[in-house]
Amino acid sequence: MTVERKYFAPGLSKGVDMKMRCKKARKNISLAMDERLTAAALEKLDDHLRGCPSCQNWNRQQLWLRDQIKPPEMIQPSPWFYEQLQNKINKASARPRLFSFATATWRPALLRAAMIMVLIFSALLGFFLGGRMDAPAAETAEAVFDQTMNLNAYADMPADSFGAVYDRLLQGELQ
Amino acid sequence: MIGEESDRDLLVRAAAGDQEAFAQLVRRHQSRVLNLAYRFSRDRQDAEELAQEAFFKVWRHARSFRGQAAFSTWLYRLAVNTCLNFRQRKKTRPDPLTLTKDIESTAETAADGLEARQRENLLDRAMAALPPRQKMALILAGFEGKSYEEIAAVMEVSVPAVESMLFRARRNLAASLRPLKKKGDR
Repeated sequence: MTVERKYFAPGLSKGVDMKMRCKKARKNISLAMDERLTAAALEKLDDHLRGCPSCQNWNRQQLWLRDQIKPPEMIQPSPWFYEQLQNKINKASARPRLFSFATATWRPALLRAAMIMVLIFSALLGFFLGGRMDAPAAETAEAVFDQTMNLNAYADMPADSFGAVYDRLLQGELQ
Repeated sequence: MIGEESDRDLLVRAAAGDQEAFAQLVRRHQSRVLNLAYRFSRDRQDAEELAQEAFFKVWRHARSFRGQAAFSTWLYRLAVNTCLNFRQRKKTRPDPLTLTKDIESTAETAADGLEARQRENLLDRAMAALPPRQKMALILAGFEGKSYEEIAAVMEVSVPAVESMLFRARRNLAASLRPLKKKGDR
Protein backbone atom coordinates (compact mmCIF):
# COMPACT_ATOMS: atom_id res chain seq x y z
CA MET A 1 0.00 0.00 0.00
CA THR A 2 1.78 3.15 -1.18
CA VAL A 3 0.68 6.58 -0.18
CA GLU A 4 1.34 9.74 -2.13
CA ARG A 5 3.62 11.70 0.13
CA LYS A 6 3.48 15.12 -1.45
CA TYR A 7 1.12 16.47 1.17
CA PHE A 8 3.43 15.33 3.91
CA ALA A 9 6.11 17.70 2.63
CA PRO A 10 4.44 21.06 3.09
CA GLY A 11 5.13 23.91 0.74
CA LEU A 12 2.77 23.57 -2.17
CA SER A 13 -0.28 25.57 -1.21
CA LYS A 14 -0.70 29.30 -1.11
CA GLY A 15 -2.23 30.24 2.24
CA VAL A 16 -1.65 28.74 5.66
CA ASP A 17 -4.81 27.18 7.05
CA MET A 18 -4.51 27.36 10.78
CA LYS A 19 -8.25 27.09 11.21
CA MET A 20 -7.99 23.34 11.12
CA ARG A 21 -7.38 22.23 14.65
CA CYS A 22 -4.47 19.94 15.42
CA LYS A 23 -6.63 17.04 16.61
CA LYS A 24 -8.58 17.07 13.38
CA ALA A 25 -5.37 17.42 11.38
CA ARG A 26 -3.90 14.37 13.09
CA LYS A 27 -7.01 12.35 12.44
CA ASN A 28 -6.74 13.40 8.82
CA ILE A 29 -3.10 12.32 8.70
CA SER A 30 -4.24 8.89 9.79
CA LEU A 31 -6.91 8.89 7.07
CA ALA A 32 -4.40 10.13 4.49
CA MET A 33 -2.11 7.22 5.28
CA ASP A 34 -4.90 4.90 4.18
CA GLU A 35 -5.77 7.06 1.18
CA ARG A 36 -9.12 8.04 2.64
CA LEU A 37 -8.94 11.80 2.18
CA THR A 38 -10.42 13.75 -0.70
CA ALA A 39 -8.20 16.12 -2.71
CA ALA A 40 -9.78 19.13 -1.03
CA ALA A 41 -9.22 17.69 2.45
CA LEU A 42 -5.64 16.85 1.52
CA GLU A 43 -5.04 20.40 0.45
CA LYS A 44 -6.44 21.72 3.73
CA LEU A 45 -4.24 19.30 5.63
CA ASP A 46 -1.25 20.44 3.65
CA ASP A 47 -2.05 24.05 4.50
CA HIS A 48 -2.32 23.23 8.16
CA LEU A 49 0.91 21.26 8.19
CA ARG A 50 2.89 24.13 6.68
CA GLY A 51 1.96 26.36 9.58
CA CYS A 52 2.06 23.83 12.41
CA PRO A 53 5.45 22.38 13.42
CA SER A 54 3.83 20.15 16.02
CA CYS A 55 1.65 18.43 13.43
CA GLN A 56 4.59 18.22 11.04
CA ASN A 57 6.44 16.35 13.73
CA TRP A 58 3.45 14.10 14.31
CA ASN A 59 3.28 13.45 10.60
CA ARG A 60 6.96 12.50 10.42
CA GLN A 61 6.50 10.22 13.40
CA GLN A 62 3.57 8.43 11.74
CA LEU A 63 5.52 7.96 8.51
CA TRP A 64 8.43 6.57 10.45
CA LEU A 65 6.12 4.21 12.28
CA ARG A 66 4.54 2.99 9.09
CA ASP A 67 7.97 2.21 7.68
CA GLN A 68 9.06 0.42 10.84
CA ILE A 69 6.09 -1.82 11.41
CA LYS A 70 6.14 -4.74 9.08
CA PRO A 71 3.96 -7.81 9.15
CA PRO A 72 5.64 -10.94 10.44
CA GLU A 73 6.70 -13.47 7.85
CA MET A 74 3.94 -15.70 6.51
CA ILE A 75 3.63 -19.08 8.15
CA GLN A 76 2.23 -22.33 6.84
CA PRO A 77 -0.19 -24.56 8.73
CA SER A 78 1.43 -27.51 10.43
CA PRO A 79 0.84 -30.93 8.81
CA TRP A 80 -1.44 -31.93 11.67
CA PHE A 81 -3.56 -28.76 11.49
CA TYR A 82 -6.63 -30.40 10.00
CA GLU A 83 -6.23 -33.53 12.05
CA GLN A 84 -6.30 -31.54 15.28
CA LEU A 85 -9.31 -29.59 14.05
CA GLN A 86 -11.05 -32.85 13.23
CA ASN A 87 -10.32 -34.12 16.72
CA LYS A 88 -11.92 -31.03 18.22
CA ILE A 89 -14.97 -31.52 16.06
CA ASN A 90 -15.22 -35.21 16.93
CA LYS A 91 -14.88 -34.44 20.62
CA ALA A 92 -17.63 -31.81 20.39
CA SER A 93 -19.87 -34.19 18.45
CA ALA A 94 -19.43 -36.90 21.05
CA ARG A 95 -20.51 -34.56 23.85
CA PRO A 96 -24.19 -35.15 24.70
CA ARG A 97 -26.28 -32.25 23.52
CA LEU A 98 -29.60 -30.90 24.64
CA PHE A 99 -32.37 -32.75 22.76
CA SER A 100 -29.82 -35.14 21.32
CA PHE A 101 -32.69 -37.55 20.55
CA ALA A 102 -34.08 -35.06 18.00
CA THR A 103 -32.77 -34.42 14.55
CA ALA A 104 -30.90 -31.20 13.91
CA THR A 105 -33.85 -29.62 12.13
CA TRP A 106 -36.20 -30.24 15.06
CA ARG A 107 -33.78 -29.14 17.75
CA PRO A 108 -34.42 -25.37 17.54
CA ALA A 109 -38.19 -25.94 17.51
CA LEU A 110 -37.96 -28.19 20.57
CA LEU A 111 -35.80 -25.68 22.35
CA ARG A 112 -38.34 -22.96 21.69
CA ALA A 113 -41.19 -25.19 22.85
CA ALA A 114 -39.31 -25.95 26.06
CA MET A 115 -38.78 -22.27 26.71
CA ILE A 116 -42.48 -21.51 26.15
CA MET A 117 -43.43 -24.31 28.56
CA VAL A 118 -41.11 -22.92 31.21
CA LEU A 119 -42.70 -19.50 30.75
CA ILE A 120 -46.23 -20.91 31.05
CA PHE A 121 -45.28 -22.90 34.14
CA SER A 122 -43.73 -19.80 35.72
CA ALA A 123 -46.86 -17.76 34.98
CA LEU A 124 -49.15 -20.42 36.50
CA LEU A 125 -46.94 -20.77 39.54
CA GLY A 126 -46.99 -17.02 39.99
CA PHE A 127 -50.77 -16.96 39.64
CA PHE A 128 -51.39 -19.64 42.27
CA LEU A 129 -48.77 -18.52 44.74
CA GLY A 130 -49.71 -14.88 44.27
CA GLY A 131 -53.30 -15.59 45.43
CA ARG A 132 -52.06 -16.73 48.80
CA MET A 133 -50.04 -13.64 49.40
CA ASP A 134 -52.76 -11.18 48.37
CA ALA A 135 -54.47 -8.90 50.90
CA PRO A 136 -57.72 -10.45 52.22
CA ALA A 137 -60.66 -10.18 49.86
CA ALA A 138 -63.46 -7.71 50.69
CA GLU A 139 -65.72 -10.22 52.46
CA THR A 140 -62.80 -11.67 54.41
CA ALA A 141 -61.82 -8.19 55.51
CA GLU A 142 -65.36 -7.52 56.70
CA ALA A 143 -65.34 -10.68 58.77
CA VAL A 144 -62.01 -9.77 60.30
CA PHE A 145 -63.36 -6.33 61.14
CA ASP A 146 -66.50 -7.76 62.75
CA GLN A 147 -64.42 -10.13 64.79
CA THR A 148 -61.97 -7.58 66.07
CA MET A 149 -64.31 -4.60 66.43
CA ASN A 150 -67.46 -6.45 67.49
CA LEU A 151 -69.24 -4.30 70.02
CA ASN A 152 -71.43 -7.26 71.15
CA ALA A 153 -68.45 -9.39 72.09
CA TYR A 154 -69.27 -8.96 75.82
CA ALA A 155 -73.00 -9.60 75.45
CA ASP A 156 -72.90 -13.08 77.05
CA MET A 157 -70.87 -11.97 80.02
CA PRO A 158 -72.32 -11.61 83.57
CA ALA A 159 -74.04 -8.23 83.97
CA ASP A 160 -71.61 -6.99 86.58
CA SER A 161 -68.45 -8.22 84.94
CA PHE A 162 -65.89 -5.69 83.90
CA GLY A 163 -66.34 -6.56 80.25
CA ALA A 164 -70.13 -6.14 80.40
CA VAL A 165 -69.88 -2.83 82.24
CA TYR A 166 -67.37 -1.62 79.72
CA ASP A 167 -69.66 -2.77 76.92
CA ARG A 168 -72.63 -0.92 78.38
CA LEU A 169 -70.45 2.12 78.81
CA LEU A 170 -69.54 1.98 75.15
CA GLN A 171 -73.18 1.53 74.14
CA GLY A 172 -74.09 4.63 76.10
CA GLU A 173 -76.35 2.78 78.53
CA LEU A 174 -74.38 3.96 81.51
CA GLN A 175 -73.85 7.62 82.13
CA MET B 1 -13.43 -28.45 -17.30
CA ILE B 2 -15.34 -28.41 -14.06
CA GLY B 3 -15.17 -25.06 -12.28
CA GLU B 4 -14.15 -24.76 -8.66
CA GLU B 5 -17.03 -25.12 -6.26
CA SER B 6 -17.95 -21.88 -4.50
CA ASP B 7 -17.37 -21.39 -0.78
CA ARG B 8 -21.09 -21.14 -0.23
CA ASP B 9 -21.78 -24.46 -1.94
CA LEU B 10 -19.05 -26.12 0.07
CA LEU B 11 -20.49 -24.66 3.25
CA VAL B 12 -23.96 -25.92 2.42
CA ARG B 13 -22.52 -29.39 1.89
CA ALA B 14 -20.46 -29.12 5.08
CA ALA B 15 -23.59 -28.09 7.00
CA ALA B 16 -25.27 -31.24 5.73
CA GLY B 17 -22.43 -33.29 7.19
CA ASP B 18 -20.13 -33.62 4.17
CA GLN B 19 -16.69 -33.85 5.74
CA GLU B 20 -14.86 -33.64 2.43
CA ALA B 21 -16.55 -30.33 1.62
CA PHE B 22 -15.54 -28.99 5.02
CA ALA B 23 -11.96 -30.19 4.55
CA GLN B 24 -11.85 -28.45 1.19
CA LEU B 25 -13.13 -25.24 2.75
CA VAL B 26 -10.47 -25.42 5.45
CA ARG B 27 -7.70 -26.11 2.94
CA ARG B 28 -8.83 -23.16 0.87
CA HIS B 29 -8.78 -20.62 3.71
CA GLN B 30 -6.48 -22.03 6.39
CA SER B 31 -3.45 -20.03 5.36
CA ARG B 32 -5.24 -16.68 5.47
CA VAL B 33 -6.92 -17.38 8.79
CA LEU B 34 -3.73 -18.77 10.29
CA ASN B 35 -1.69 -15.73 9.24
CA LEU B 36 -4.30 -13.32 10.53
CA ALA B 37 -4.14 -15.10 13.88
CA TYR B 38 -0.35 -15.12 13.75
CA ARG B 39 -0.21 -11.40 13.05
CA PHE B 40 -2.43 -10.87 16.03
CA SER B 41 -0.85 -13.28 18.51
CA ARG B 42 2.74 -13.35 17.18
CA ASP B 43 2.92 -16.89 18.43
CA ARG B 44 2.81 -19.86 16.11
CA GLN B 45 1.17 -22.22 18.54
CA ASP B 46 -1.47 -19.70 19.60
CA ALA B 47 -2.09 -18.89 15.95
CA GLU B 48 -2.75 -22.54 15.12
CA GLU B 49 -5.08 -22.85 18.07
CA LEU B 50 -6.94 -19.69 17.08
CA ALA B 51 -7.27 -20.74 13.45
CA GLN B 52 -8.57 -24.15 14.49
CA GLU B 53 -11.08 -22.53 16.82
CA ALA B 54 -12.25 -20.23 14.02
CA PHE B 55 -12.81 -23.21 11.70
CA PHE B 56 -14.47 -25.11 14.51
CA LYS B 57 -16.95 -22.22 14.74
CA VAL B 58 -17.47 -22.41 10.99
CA TRP B 59 -18.38 -26.07 11.35
CA ARG B 60 -20.64 -25.40 14.32
CA HIS B 61 -22.47 -22.43 12.83
CA ALA B 62 -22.49 -23.54 9.21
CA ARG B 63 -26.26 -23.94 9.29
CA SER B 64 -26.79 -20.41 10.55
CA PHE B 65 -24.91 -18.84 7.63
CA ARG B 66 -27.63 -16.97 5.76
CA GLY B 67 -25.44 -15.75 2.93
CA GLN B 68 -26.17 -12.07 3.57
CA ALA B 69 -22.43 -11.38 3.67
CA ALA B 70 -19.71 -13.02 1.61
CA PHE B 71 -18.35 -16.23 3.10
CA SER B 72 -14.90 -14.64 3.45
CA THR B 73 -16.36 -11.75 5.48
CA TRP B 74 -18.19 -14.20 7.71
CA LEU B 75 -15.07 -16.29 8.15
CA TYR B 76 -13.00 -13.20 8.95
CA ARG B 77 -15.61 -12.13 11.48
CA LEU B 78 -15.41 -15.48 13.23
CA ALA B 79 -11.61 -15.39 13.15
CA VAL B 80 -11.44 -11.80 14.43
CA ASN B 81 -13.87 -12.52 17.27
CA THR B 82 -11.94 -15.65 18.17
CA CYS B 83 -8.72 -13.62 18.32
CA LEU B 84 -10.28 -10.87 20.41
CA ASN B 85 -11.82 -13.35 22.87
CA PHE B 86 -8.61 -15.34 23.08
CA ARG B 87 -6.73 -12.17 23.89
CA GLN B 88 -9.16 -11.40 26.70
CA ARG B 89 -8.79 -14.92 28.05
CA LYS B 90 -5.02 -14.81 28.08
CA LYS B 91 -4.70 -11.29 29.43
CA THR B 92 -1.06 -11.10 28.46
CA ARG B 93 -1.12 -7.44 27.65
CA PRO B 94 2.16 -5.96 28.79
CA ASP B 95 2.13 -2.91 31.00
CA PRO B 96 2.64 0.13 28.74
CA LEU B 97 4.74 1.85 31.40
CA THR B 98 7.14 -1.07 31.54
CA LEU B 99 7.31 -1.05 27.80
CA THR B 100 8.25 2.63 27.64
CA LYS B 101 10.87 2.07 30.30
CA ASP B 102 12.28 -0.87 28.32
CA ILE B 103 12.47 1.18 25.18
CA GLU B 104 14.24 4.02 26.97
CA SER B 105 16.79 1.75 28.60
CA THR B 106 17.41 -0.21 25.41
CA ALA B 107 17.75 2.92 23.36
CA GLU B 108 20.21 4.37 25.89
CA THR B 109 22.38 1.30 26.26
CA ALA B 110 22.58 0.67 22.54
CA ALA B 111 23.15 4.26 21.52
CA ASP B 112 25.94 3.30 19.11
CA GLY B 113 23.73 1.12 17.03
CA LEU B 114 20.48 -0.44 18.01
CA GLU B 115 20.28 -3.99 16.79
CA ALA B 116 17.61 -4.46 14.16
CA ARG B 117 16.33 -7.47 16.03
CA GLN B 118 15.96 -5.55 19.27
CA ARG B 119 14.13 -2.79 17.49
CA GLU B 120 11.82 -5.34 15.93
CA ASN B 121 11.12 -6.85 19.33
CA LEU B 122 10.28 -3.49 20.77
CA LEU B 123 7.95 -2.75 17.91
CA ASP B 124 6.31 -6.12 18.43
CA ARG B 125 5.84 -5.34 22.09
CA ALA B 126 4.42 -1.93 21.31
CA MET B 127 1.92 -3.60 19.00
CA ALA B 128 1.10 -6.18 21.66
CA ALA B 129 0.48 -3.38 24.17
CA LEU B 130 -2.27 -1.90 22.04
CA PRO B 131 -5.87 -2.55 23.05
CA PRO B 132 -6.97 -5.68 21.13
CA ARG B 133 -9.58 -3.99 18.94
CA GLN B 134 -7.21 -1.19 17.92
CA LYS B 135 -4.53 -3.72 17.15
CA MET B 136 -6.91 -5.81 15.08
CA ALA B 137 -8.04 -2.75 13.10
CA LEU B 138 -4.41 -1.86 12.42
CA ILE B 139 -3.61 -5.40 11.28
CA LEU B 140 -6.63 -5.53 8.98
CA ALA B 141 -5.88 -2.12 7.45
CA GLY B 142 -2.10 -2.28 7.31
CA PHE B 143 -1.24 -5.93 6.81
CA GLU B 144 -4.35 -7.51 5.36
CA GLY B 145 -5.08 -4.62 2.99
CA LYS B 146 -8.74 -4.43 3.98
CA SER B 147 -10.75 -1.31 3.22
CA TYR B 148 -12.44 0.60 6.02
CA GLU B 149 -15.79 -0.74 4.86
CA GLU B 150 -14.51 -4.32 5.01
CA ILE B 151 -13.01 -3.76 8.46
CA ALA B 152 -16.32 -2.28 9.61
CA ALA B 153 -18.18 -5.34 8.33
CA VAL B 154 -15.73 -7.79 9.88
CA MET B 155 -15.55 -6.02 13.25
CA GLU B 156 -19.26 -5.19 13.24
CA VAL B 157 -18.77 -1.47 13.79
CA SER B 158 -19.39 1.67 11.72
CA VAL B 159 -16.85 3.18 9.31
CA PRO B 160 -16.31 6.25 11.55
CA ALA B 161 -15.61 3.84 14.41
CA VAL B 162 -12.92 2.19 12.26
CA GLU B 163 -11.39 5.61 11.49
CA SER B 164 -11.36 6.40 15.17
CA MET B 165 -9.88 3.01 16.15
CA LEU B 166 -7.06 3.38 13.62
CA PHE B 167 -6.29 6.92 14.70
CA ARG B 168 -6.16 5.90 18.35
CA ALA B 169 -4.02 2.87 17.52
CA ARG B 170 -1.50 5.03 15.67
CA ARG B 171 -1.50 7.62 18.42
CA ASN B 172 -0.93 4.98 21.12
CA LEU B 173 1.79 3.34 19.08
CA ALA B 174 3.54 6.66 18.55
CA ALA B 175 3.33 7.39 22.28
CA SER B 176 4.80 3.98 23.16
CA LEU B 177 7.63 4.29 20.69
CA ARG B 178 8.49 7.96 21.16
CA PRO B 179 11.70 7.27 23.10
CA LEU B 180 12.86 4.85 20.42
CA LYS B 181 12.09 7.35 17.70
CA LYS B 182 14.03 10.10 19.47
CA LYS B 183 17.09 7.88 19.77
CA GLY B 184 16.70 6.75 16.19
CA ASP B 185 16.68 10.34 14.95
CA ARG B 186 20.16 11.05 16.19
